[in-house]
Amino acid sequence: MHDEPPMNDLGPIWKNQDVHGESIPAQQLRNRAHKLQKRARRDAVIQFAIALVCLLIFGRLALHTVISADWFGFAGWALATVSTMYMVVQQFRVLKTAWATNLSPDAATKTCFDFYRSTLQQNLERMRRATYAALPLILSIQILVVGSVIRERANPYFVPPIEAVLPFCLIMVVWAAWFFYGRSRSARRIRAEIASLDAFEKDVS
Amino acid sequence: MGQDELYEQASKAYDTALARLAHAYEADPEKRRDLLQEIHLALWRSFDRFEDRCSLRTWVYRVAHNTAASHVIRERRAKPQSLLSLEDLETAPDATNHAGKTEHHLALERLMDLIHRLKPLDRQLMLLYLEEMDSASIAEITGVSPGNVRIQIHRIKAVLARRFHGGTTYAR
Repeated sequence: MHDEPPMNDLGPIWKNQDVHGESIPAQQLRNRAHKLQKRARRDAVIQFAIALVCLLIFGRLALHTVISADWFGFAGWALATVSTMYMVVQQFRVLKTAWATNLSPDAATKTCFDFYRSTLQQNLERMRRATYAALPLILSIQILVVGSVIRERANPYFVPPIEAVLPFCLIMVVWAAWFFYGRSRSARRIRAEIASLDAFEKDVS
Repeated sequence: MGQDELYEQASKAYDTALARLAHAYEADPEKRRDLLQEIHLALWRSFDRFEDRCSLRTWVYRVAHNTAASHVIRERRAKPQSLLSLEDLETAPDATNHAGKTEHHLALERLMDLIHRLKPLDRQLMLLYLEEMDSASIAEITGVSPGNVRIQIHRIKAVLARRFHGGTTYAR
């Protein structure tokens, strides 16, 4: 390489590190790969099952509120059902991937540039999906709480007045704001990194 | 050649280089050991589909760097500001602890500190350069064109050299 800054002394420093290579027997790696895959599959099944059970419970509650003409309740549980339905679909995709033989096929076939870029994009996509799932769920909790207060207003034995549920609602709103702000900041950082990678080839030439 | 034979051949030829690579990606000794094992696992797994698509060296470094980059991205969620662009690296404070160290150790520690703060792509280019690869080989592994490899390495080296020589002296 031409016109390089004088850094000839870094090569020997790098090469003369006191490190010891580690060669792991193939059988040990095979066992570990098997264990990892088993764990990934088990986790995927558990998460899919949880999402499915939640979907059934929320769906049933939504149906129940329709029958009893509780429209606030219906709106809340229907939103929760939609949110968990989305989660079930996502978890099913994870389940399908976990069942594939090779867990990370890209690591070998993609160049470092493409792999890094696609990993960032996957993270961005995962973040987007989590936000899509969380938004209706948070909204449904708010609707259910407010709805129950409105419904019970006429009940003389109804103890918690609006002030009693207000702190919960406020905490929920603050938490949601913090959650979405954090998500959007991380997403912005990843998008900037992807943009800088896109500009990289053009920029340096 | 089968998956196990390929892995054994690669592991024998590149075990020290892989250990150096893990050192450049993870400062914590415990996590570094886990990363090195993760790299070996990914390598063994990858040979299932090697099919002589490229040279063994390119394949090994590609898998190792990609596995390590995934590790960096995972770790970065916990410390989002830990990686710097080349511009920011110029002005970042020196985090090296000078007390009771030989000049060689101090130089290595400073080099590692700088490398640990590079973003994955810059780090990959620099590490491959330090492993004495030419720009064509680096280009094949990273997917960056040879011309751009040369320019970017020149930039990284210039920043590292300024930062390095701005600190204490060491034996050559």
